[in-house]
Order: sequence, then structure tokens, then C-alpha cells
Amino acid sequence: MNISNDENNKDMRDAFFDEIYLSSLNNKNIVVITNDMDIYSLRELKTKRPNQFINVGVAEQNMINIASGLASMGMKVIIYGIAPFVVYRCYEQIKFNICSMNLPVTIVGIGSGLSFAFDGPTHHAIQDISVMNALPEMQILNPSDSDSAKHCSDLVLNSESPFYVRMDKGMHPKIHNSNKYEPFKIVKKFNNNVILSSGTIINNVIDSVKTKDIGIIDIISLKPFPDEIFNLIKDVENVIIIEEHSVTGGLGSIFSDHATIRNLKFNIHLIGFENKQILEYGSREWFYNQSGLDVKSLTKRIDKILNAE
Amino acid sequence: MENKLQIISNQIRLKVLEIVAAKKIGHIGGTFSCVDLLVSMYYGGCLNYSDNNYPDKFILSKGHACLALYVILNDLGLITKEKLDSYGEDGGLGGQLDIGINGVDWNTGSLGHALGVCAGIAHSSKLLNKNYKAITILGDAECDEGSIWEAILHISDYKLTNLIAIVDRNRLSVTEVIQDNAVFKLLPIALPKLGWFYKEIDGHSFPEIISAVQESKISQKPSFIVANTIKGKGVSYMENELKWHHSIPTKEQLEIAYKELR
Repeated sequence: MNISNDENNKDMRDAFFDEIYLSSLNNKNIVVITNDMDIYSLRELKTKRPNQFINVGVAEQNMINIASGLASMGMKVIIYGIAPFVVYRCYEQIKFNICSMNLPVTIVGIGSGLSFAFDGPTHHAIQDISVMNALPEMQILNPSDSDSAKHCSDLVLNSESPFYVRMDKGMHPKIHNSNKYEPFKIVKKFNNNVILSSGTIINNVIDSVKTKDIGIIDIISLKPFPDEIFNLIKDVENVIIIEEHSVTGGLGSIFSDHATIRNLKFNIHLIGFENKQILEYGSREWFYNQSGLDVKSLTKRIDKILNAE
Repeated sequence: MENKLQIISNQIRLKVLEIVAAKKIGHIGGTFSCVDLLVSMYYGGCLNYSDNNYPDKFILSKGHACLALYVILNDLGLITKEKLDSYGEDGGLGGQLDIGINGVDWNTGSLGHALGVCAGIAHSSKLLNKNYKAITILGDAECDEGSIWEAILHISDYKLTNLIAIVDRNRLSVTEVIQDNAVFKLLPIALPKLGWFYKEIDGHSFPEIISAVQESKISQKPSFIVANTIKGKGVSYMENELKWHHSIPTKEQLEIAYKELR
């Protein structure tokens, strides 16, 4: 698929933030805060609505505290920055001032998974879902294309909950083509086997199962996890989880927890990054290859699971 | 006025002492050091807490001094006597503040957050074009937190004038005397240069506290007031003694304390 020729497609960040920008012009209560990160869609907000755009500089703890103070007075606050820095550096501020106060602050972590592969392990976001899932009030969204990213902005602007939006960068093939927010989407129909995936890694998944008897569901809302999925897959035997996150604490763990609570017996297979430090440098594709997440490796791994029956 | 506030302060200290003695839990030292600051807030006109539309927002960042605030909230009719009596009981009022308590604007328990939160509140008052203030009482030991300094710099850069920070400078942390540490050497030099209204006062003198807050409000600057206080203020054997951070008085000690406070 030649995604760059699709005139309706755009960078996922722009798909999300174009909506935030347009809404901000009409709603003075929307405030955007960043730790000095540039987003193309928001450049005009800085000049047109300088009071609604705050660059706190490289000070993430303060960024969260300011956001919570604003939100407590009725403002709708959108924070963005490179994912690991807006998650780990200020985790206690998020837990205490946003979550324990249950304030409508949305944290957009840019660079899901290994989007910033070459910038090294400090910039990788492969444990972010795990730590955000531990916060009771936090909802987690992981869009996989420009449409789902756009609809995530509608959802957060119209909700009163804290949100973590895990945002990839760049242009990715369109999967959703819907006109409203959907917490999940069946990308490929299934019978006895299904893959649950989330984020843009789903494109590798799609390419690796084209001729196989296995379906695919794209999960946008990791938390709350869409209950309806369990009705849809209740007769399925193999559930393979494929994610660009540590297998500890990500979609696989979330799904397994829910399946256990419901006493549902699937053969669950977890595919993601091992729970270990990645200290090498390289391209995202090279890391996929190293970790068995490229199309070729995924094809083999899925075949192995399906042929083991 | 000054006399009246002093009487209220002593009554609050007495009540706090009675409750701690009965429930055998609480932080007397750091509570007594900030009672006069709290009394100035709620009885001396420093805090506009009763405005129907846009009251000032107040965060007692050193939330371990919550018992004095509980007593005040009860006296002002914001929480019931039953609620106050639940202090120290399972499921009752605890050792930190939370927004489930009427009159409490922010959860507490973790230090170094309130100044940044107040910056957000001050941003909102600017955005909404209102005049409410964000006021916080910080502990002196918590000024070590990096997030306090991130907030100081941000408030300066954004000229957030609707904000008053008051430090309960009792010079004792949990384990150390913090007499002349770098933080308190730096504050009086740095803050005026950063555009803050900075003032050091006697934190047990009502005229000084009230006039410093009034000056803050008309200063058109963010304000930082260092209130020099005495940990355990009001009971001679508790004053400036580290062990009264969270010790519980014996029956004999209690008798002496009651005499001194009455």
C-alpha cells in the first residue's frame, strides 16, 4: 500500500492535534501544555491563543502539577511530550495530582514503542502501558492510524476522566475509515483463531497472516478493556497477542487478567518485547527483526502456534 | 483583633492537644508551628474562603498539620463534630487531607507538589480573568524538592501574580535541624531577582502575617513569605525539640501543656 499517495491520510500526530487545535479556537477552556516539543498542528495555537498554550520547558513534574491545577478549575488540559518523559519522570505527580484528584487531564505520549528507536533506550516506550494501567482512574488509548487518532481526540475532549494516549508518529496505512470513535475494530474476520493487536505494529500483523485462517482485532481502548470482545471471541481457541510493548504489563497482561477474572480458557500466546533492558541502537525495523516482530518472523511464529494443534 | 486571634490560636492548640492525647496519634510539633498562620488565613482575613463564586484556593502542602485545619473547619461549621471526632478512627479523618472533606481543596501526603498546582490555579485565574488567589503553606524541609524549584522558575517566567506561598520555617525536619542550609540562603537572593515579592516575617506575629499577606495581594507579583516559626510553639518543653515531630505527651506532660495554653 502506498500510504503517502493517499490524500486523506496524514501524520497520526497531526490527525489528533488538528482536532485539538480547532476545538481550542472555539473553547477557551482548552489548555495545551508541552515540555518543549514541537507539533506542526499546534504552531498556530501558540500565536493565535498564547494563553491556551504553555511550554513549561524541560520540567515534567511541574508540567503535570500545573495541568492538575488548571484542570481543578474547570480547564480541559492536554499535555504532550515524548512518551517516556511524560510517563516515568513525573509518575508520582500523575498518580497523586491527576489520578487521586480524578481530573480531566489527557497525557499524550508521543513515540509509542520504538518510534524513537535511534534515540536509544531512554526514548523507548515499551513499559508505559504497564505503569499507566496501574493507576485506577487512568484510561489508556492506543490508536493505530490517523482516523483512530482523530477520534481519540473527540473522546478525550468530551470526557471528564484522566487519559493516557499512546501516540505513534508519522503516516501509517488507514485501517479504521470510520466516522466516530470505536474502542476496537475487527480488521480481519475470524473463526477458531484470533490475533489481538494494538498500535501501528498491527500493519506487520496484517501482512503476516494474509493467507492464514486467523482473524485480527485492533484494540484502541486498552483501559477500559472493551468487554464486548469476550462475547465475540468466546468460541475461539487460540488468542495471540502481538504488541510493541513489553510482554509484562501490556495488552497481553491486560487481556489475560480479564480472561482469568471471567474464567475463560483460551490458549493465550504473548508476542512482544521480552522484559529486559534494550541497550542497543538501531532503526525500528532492525529492532523488529531482532525481537521477532518483523513480518517474516511473525509469519513463522504464528504458523508455529497454528500448526501445533 | 490581635488579642482575639491569639485566643483562637491557643484554643486550637489546646483542642489539637486534647485530640492527640485521646487518639494517641498526630504531628504536634509541625502543627503548632503553623497554627498562627492558619488562624490568620481563616480568622484574620488572609484567605477569601467563603466567596460563593470564586473563592481563593488553599493548599496546606504540609498536610501532616491537618489536625489544626480539622479543628478550624469544625469551628467554622464546614465539618461536623462527629466528623472531627472520627479523627484517628478506622475510616475516619486521617493524618493527611483529602478532598472528600468539606473545605479541603487538595489531597495531601506527598511533598513538593502544591506550588506547581498553585501555578496551574493561578494560570486559570488569569485565563478566566478572575481575581481569586492560589495560596499554599509549605513546610521548610519540603523546599528541597526539585519540583518546588521548577515551579518557582515557571511562576516567575509566566508572572503568575495571583499566588502566595508561605513557608512554615520552623527549622526542624523529621531528623535534622535545618538552620542555614543552601535552600534558605538562596531564596532571599534569588526570588527578588526572579520578580517575586519576598518577605521574611515572624510567623507567630499576627500583625506581621496579616500585613505581609496584604502587601502580597497588592504587590502585582507572585509572593513568597518565609514565616519564621517555632516547632511546638506554645508549649515550652515542645518548642524546638525534634522529638515533638510526632511524639505523644504523657499525662504529666499534658497537664503542663494545658496550663501553659490556657
